[in-house]
Amino acid sequence: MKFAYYPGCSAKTTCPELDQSMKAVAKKLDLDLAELEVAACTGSRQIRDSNEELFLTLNARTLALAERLERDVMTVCATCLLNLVEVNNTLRGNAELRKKINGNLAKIDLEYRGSVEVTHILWVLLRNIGAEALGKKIVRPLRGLRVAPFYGCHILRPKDVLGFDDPDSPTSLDALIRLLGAEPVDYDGKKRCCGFHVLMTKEDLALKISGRRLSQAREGQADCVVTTCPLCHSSLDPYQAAVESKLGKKIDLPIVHLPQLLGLGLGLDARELKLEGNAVSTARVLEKIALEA
Amino acid sequence: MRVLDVLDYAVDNCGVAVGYRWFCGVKRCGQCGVSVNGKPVLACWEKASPTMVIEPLPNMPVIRDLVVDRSALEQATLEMEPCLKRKTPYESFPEPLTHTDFEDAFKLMNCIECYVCTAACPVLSDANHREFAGPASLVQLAKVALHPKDEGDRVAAALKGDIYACVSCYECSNVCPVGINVLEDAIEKLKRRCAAEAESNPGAKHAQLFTDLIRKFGRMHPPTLMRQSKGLMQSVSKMSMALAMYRKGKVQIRPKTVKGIEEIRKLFQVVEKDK
Repeated sequence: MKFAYYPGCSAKTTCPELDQSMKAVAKKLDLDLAELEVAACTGSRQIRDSNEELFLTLNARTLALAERLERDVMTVCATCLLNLVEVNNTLRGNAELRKKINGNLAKIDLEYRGSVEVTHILWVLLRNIGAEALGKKIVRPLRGLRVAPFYGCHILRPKDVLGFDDPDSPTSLDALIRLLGAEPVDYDGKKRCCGFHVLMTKEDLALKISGRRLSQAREGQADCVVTTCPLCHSSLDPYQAAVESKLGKKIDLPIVHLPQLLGLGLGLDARELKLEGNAVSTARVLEKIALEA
Repeated sequence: MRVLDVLDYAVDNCGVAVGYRWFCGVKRCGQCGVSVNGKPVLACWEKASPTMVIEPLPNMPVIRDLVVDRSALEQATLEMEPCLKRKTPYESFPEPLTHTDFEDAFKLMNCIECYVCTAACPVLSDANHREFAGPASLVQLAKVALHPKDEGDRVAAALKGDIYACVSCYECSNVCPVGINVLEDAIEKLKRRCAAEAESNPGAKHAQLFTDLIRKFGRMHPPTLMRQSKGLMQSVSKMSMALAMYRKGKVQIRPKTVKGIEEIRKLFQVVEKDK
């Protein structure tokens, strides 16, 4: 299975453990990833909130780069996923606008014809590889591990744009956790916002939101949280200490990226998955697996 | 059977004295909002299920049972002055105005002011950030702001409603009973106008700094963005976190430039030249 791999900024800066574990997992799953090294940031919410044409043009270039490789784009970030999916839909659905944006791309000798699909590693695992084939590759079932799924807004909503899972009662990440032999923790916060998009401008507000999610996952007696998006991961992991001092209580909950959790099930070791790179120590997760294995 | 039918039945046949508000029963009046299994919906338009938990809408004080007090939210909407404001005289009568001219505003005219979106907003429920006007009021503001004949100071109203507190979570879009994509068709379009007209606002400034970094490096460099956006003094307060992240290999001191930067800068030039 071939994809143009779009890691996004976070996996290349604040979450190198995501990039590394994704690549390690890809090898195990025979995913052939061609990294889009020359692609720009999708603009998070900031560029789309301020300059629509720039937002469309930068992402059209990324799609055109993948089109040149004749590969679909796979992301590991929910916000990048939504941005690329929406730009793709906009360009496909509006010939006039596509002509205008292609006029911009022509200045760098590129054109986007609209043939690329955009997907996320979670979708690839369940839709392209499939539960059955993936299940056969699980050599180290994560028995006894209680994992709180954290979906992330931009992989669920808006439903009519993404359409993979039900934003009101999502099941995909829960299913993956079960497939890995672990036990999903059910809590309302799993489908809610992490507060990331106001973390730098209104930190207090963001921490109140992420604090709610972390507290709920903790109350559900999770051993760890798994995220599908490095932005959620940043809100919950490196900022967890800030949440703790705000709430005045210890949370101490390891937050792992989806490829890290999957990698454990595939038999990869902690170093290959860079589990020492997460802000909150993941030692407890490893102990639990060793104990139960 | 709808949730509203269940409520009617409970009152008429089971002797349950529960208070709830409704008027039209056909998704027009916007009065019958309730929360069903944790999701804000209209009682008149939501299919009932054999087991369900019906609660009053969150983010509003409860008057009795399922009846909530919306007056504070309605006041926030009124303060937006959501009626067309014009300074220049009418060109003619009838005025030339095509459907494409007011397409953006037209999408929002379906809003029935039910406040279901505001009930779903985590900025209000999780953070209790009452400075935020909430999505329903911002839809009313955007409805006039996006109208081609409007000349009111809508950016000031959006900033007064603390529009940059919006976390872009799409909970509002997800629950809208009339299918308005509240975030993209109202809030985001207002933010674009704020970005263009209120450059000194911290939210708008943050978006600009973000864009500048992408122009320069092609990719985000979080430490630089934090220093520029928060200012040096406030960034210093994050030093212990930065240090912990640095030890984990999560901080690159120097920004790395993306390999395709020449092409990226060229595209910035092309787009920004039009402006």
